[in-house]
Amino acid sequence: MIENISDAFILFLNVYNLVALAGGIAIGVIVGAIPGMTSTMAVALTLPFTFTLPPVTGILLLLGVYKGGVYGGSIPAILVRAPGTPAASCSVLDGYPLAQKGQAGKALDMALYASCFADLVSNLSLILLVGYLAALVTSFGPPENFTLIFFSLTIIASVSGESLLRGFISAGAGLLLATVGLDLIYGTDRFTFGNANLLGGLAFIPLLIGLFAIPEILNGYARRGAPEKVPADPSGTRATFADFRRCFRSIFRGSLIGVVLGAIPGIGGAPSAFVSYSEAMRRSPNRKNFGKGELEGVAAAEAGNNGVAGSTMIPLLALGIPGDVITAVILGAFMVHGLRPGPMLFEQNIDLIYALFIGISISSLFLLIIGKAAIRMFRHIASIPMRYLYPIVMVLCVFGAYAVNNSFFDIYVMVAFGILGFIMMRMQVPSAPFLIAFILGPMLEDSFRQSLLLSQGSLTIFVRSWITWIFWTLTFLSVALMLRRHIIGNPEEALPEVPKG
Amino acid sequence: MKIDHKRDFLLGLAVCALALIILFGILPWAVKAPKVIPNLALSPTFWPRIILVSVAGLSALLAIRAYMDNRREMQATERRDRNDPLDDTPPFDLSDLRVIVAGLLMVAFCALLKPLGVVLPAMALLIALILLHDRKHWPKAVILAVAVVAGLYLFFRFVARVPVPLGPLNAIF
Amino acid sequence: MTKSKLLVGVAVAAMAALPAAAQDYPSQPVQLTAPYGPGGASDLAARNLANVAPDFVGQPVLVTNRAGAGGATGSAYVRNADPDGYNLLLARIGSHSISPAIKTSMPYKWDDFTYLGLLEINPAACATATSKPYESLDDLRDAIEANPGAITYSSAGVGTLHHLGGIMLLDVLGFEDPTVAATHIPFQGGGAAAAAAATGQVDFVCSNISAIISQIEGGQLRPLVVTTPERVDSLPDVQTASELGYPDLEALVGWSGLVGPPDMADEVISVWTEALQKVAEDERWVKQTESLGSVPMILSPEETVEFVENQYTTFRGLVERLGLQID
Repeated sequence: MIENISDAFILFLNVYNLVALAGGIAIGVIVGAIPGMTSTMAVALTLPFTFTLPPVTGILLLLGVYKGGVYGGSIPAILVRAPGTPAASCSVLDGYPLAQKGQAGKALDMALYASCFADLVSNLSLILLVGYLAALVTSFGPPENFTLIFFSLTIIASVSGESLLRGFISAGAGLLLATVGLDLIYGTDRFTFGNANLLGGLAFIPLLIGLFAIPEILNGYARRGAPEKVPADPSGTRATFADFRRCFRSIFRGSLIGVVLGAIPGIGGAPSAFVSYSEAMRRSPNRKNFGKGELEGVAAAEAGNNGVAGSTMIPLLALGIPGDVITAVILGAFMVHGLRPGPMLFEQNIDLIYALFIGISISSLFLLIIGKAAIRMFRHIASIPMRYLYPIVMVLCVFGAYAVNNSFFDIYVMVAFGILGFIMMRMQVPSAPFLIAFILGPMLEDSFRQSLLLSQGSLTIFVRSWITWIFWTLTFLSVALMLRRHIIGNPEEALPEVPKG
Repeated sequence: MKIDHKRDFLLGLAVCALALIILFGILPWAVKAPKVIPNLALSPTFWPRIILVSVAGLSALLAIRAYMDNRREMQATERRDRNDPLDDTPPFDLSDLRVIVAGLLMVAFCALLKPLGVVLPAMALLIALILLHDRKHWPKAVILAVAVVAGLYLFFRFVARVPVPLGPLNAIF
Repeated sequence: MTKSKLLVGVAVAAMAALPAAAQDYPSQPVQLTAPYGPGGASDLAARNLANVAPDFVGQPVLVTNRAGAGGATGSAYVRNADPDGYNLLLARIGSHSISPAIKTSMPYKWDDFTYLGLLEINPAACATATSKPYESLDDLRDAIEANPGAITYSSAGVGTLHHLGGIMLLDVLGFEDPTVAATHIPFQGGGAAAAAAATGQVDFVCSNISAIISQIEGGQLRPLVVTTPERVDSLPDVQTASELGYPDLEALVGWSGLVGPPDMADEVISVWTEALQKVAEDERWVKQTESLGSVPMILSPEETVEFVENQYTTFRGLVERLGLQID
């Protein structure tokens, strides 16, 4: 053991590894900050460069890009309401309102602190709990996934704003649009109308950018007559240690949610961010302030989405199973070097694993330093006058949407959803439920049908294990709480508007 | 009718109608299902149907509730000033003209992508969107547009390795 | 078991009159579309080629992912692109022989493309979780016979190697109707399909070996058969399909090929056939292809067409015989 670790230090301690990790994080933060360029794409683009590097250096480079990208997505989400990555879409909910109040600096700081802390927790879980969490992975099949996603959908209630009904309708629209494309189970066409571009379904990122960023750009033109609002200089606002301490419970809870959801293959950062956000809201005394610029909301969202960044490696390292696209790319990097992740790797290349672990554990610190520098650079964006900033963001979004699939169609989708999003904004239909439903809808349907196939049609499969019972209980409690708050507890909340006088 | 209620009422009706049209008019031919399915819940049409029925129900509920609330409030306010000036702003009004122009610019931009590639229309869109805010600064807008789009093009082409279509500019470079 | 290989004459794409610029090809970067998402086998194969090909064609090769619908979205895009040689596609078994054989409404046919060459083949294997009691294909057959429909297999979706692999296995094992003998459970992507098998959620999976080798070596999956004519180096103890008496299973072999839109000019084709011959001798490319678990195999355009056509015809025969067609 000691020998292995000292070997690992020798393997890790060379300047190239540190440069690769730091450079990777810097690349990731920048790429993640571009709407449309996800951390997945950044990792895939970096992959060919790792072919010629030694394994530890190459994989640390990829991990750096990944971690940087996950954090980087929050920067444009807060500053211009254009989430750089899907997982950052939850940070929009409170981050952008904060920026509008002139507290962009504070929100950016808190996003970074929450991200680094969650990353650290996730990395430590990876290192210390890899064996235990891997056991959890193997007990998750389609029915368990179904109950988990079903539970996650209850967060729609908390992001619906004033009217639950409008939130549910918005979610319904998201669920419906998510069915477009080839049916997973039978391969038949659903709402594709013979268009080859629709066969694969609507791409998520153009839809996301359209729904969030474009309505804001359009809305900028409606404020005629009003003096152009320049956000207050964000350099004046910083997140203090007191802020961090106030949000600490949410950050810690969000990190743990991220760790667990990250370890389960196929869930990913976006659901985790939303679950963490919703939990923070449920427990916060400032519940009413969520969605209007609550710092704790930013902290919870970012903690949730960075909490997955370490634990997604658990299924890969322990079982050789890539849980998401990013770990699939990282698996490719392992294989290019003739390494096969899985239990054998721990037996044959334990020094390499430890070297990776050492690198991973200092990545949170690097992220903090590089993130600080990035904030210093990016926060000037908030002081660009709106008349220039919004048009530039629009063009940036166009390039980003094109890059997803190198397709004009995605730009059309983005603009179409931008206009839809603007109408929704004016009709006070919240867009967050739409987005959550669009992400979770396919997972819910797939796992439901897979379960029924497995059980040959018997519904008892949905209560087959203790995990399903846990999620059913959570769902029940969550719905009960929701009903109590919306109907019994505060009857006036059930009405859209209280008559005046 | 109060603006809020009118909005919810119309929104509910419109969404409900749309959901029913999709359910009965579009879904039967746009969602294909295999002939033999072991279980109704496994059919590719099952999920979209459930969603559409729920959306139709919820939006009908929204419309009905808006209508009821409105009646109750009207009765409540009847005794007082009946033509209470509405201080709510309607969802859309004439000041949205520039918004509509901006939306149309984006649609026009989409139409230009196929013939002209991304780069030239993106410059034009950027200039147009800036001028729509402020017509005085057009030289600044042109310089900014060229610089921003060129910068983005170079970044995507050489760093992200995404060849964004140049359109007619391809002949020059 | 019927041999369903129908021999049809070698189809060669009709050549259009060559554009004037074909002589200087390539004068700008070539865009290579990978019809699946980043990180998958198709993406890696494309990036591997893009890494070395510029040395032999003189221009950068830019890999772009256009994922969706089991490779159909990206393939349809290249099918409709200009045949000027600047838009190429990394074709795969799923997008070019299985999906066109199963799905009638595909926006393209397998022979709509100009085939430039085969790059590699990906040997396949069928495996079961080590937690399952099946030690051999015979055990698996007995289990299926004992409880029709209760045995499950995972796939990366309809029209993928995993899907057809499961059906072919059931077919060669002698089941009349493979669609009811065992239950097909599609997942999103090959990684999820392999994971479902390794964790015992389903009973077996047929997959390209590179996607399941780490689980096999890690002791979670037990390989039952490999579909190559000879035994695979990385799995020397696993019997081949022929050794077990199921030679028809050998048609199940994944591949990657380089194709372009229909009617490409001869000049452009020869640039690539020559380049691919050099790629075949490039050590970096060979080493990386092998490390990903594939077998480098560069074929000429004619041989490639013949190879794909054979496979398509076999699959199409199976689909028709079993009524697997999807409208």
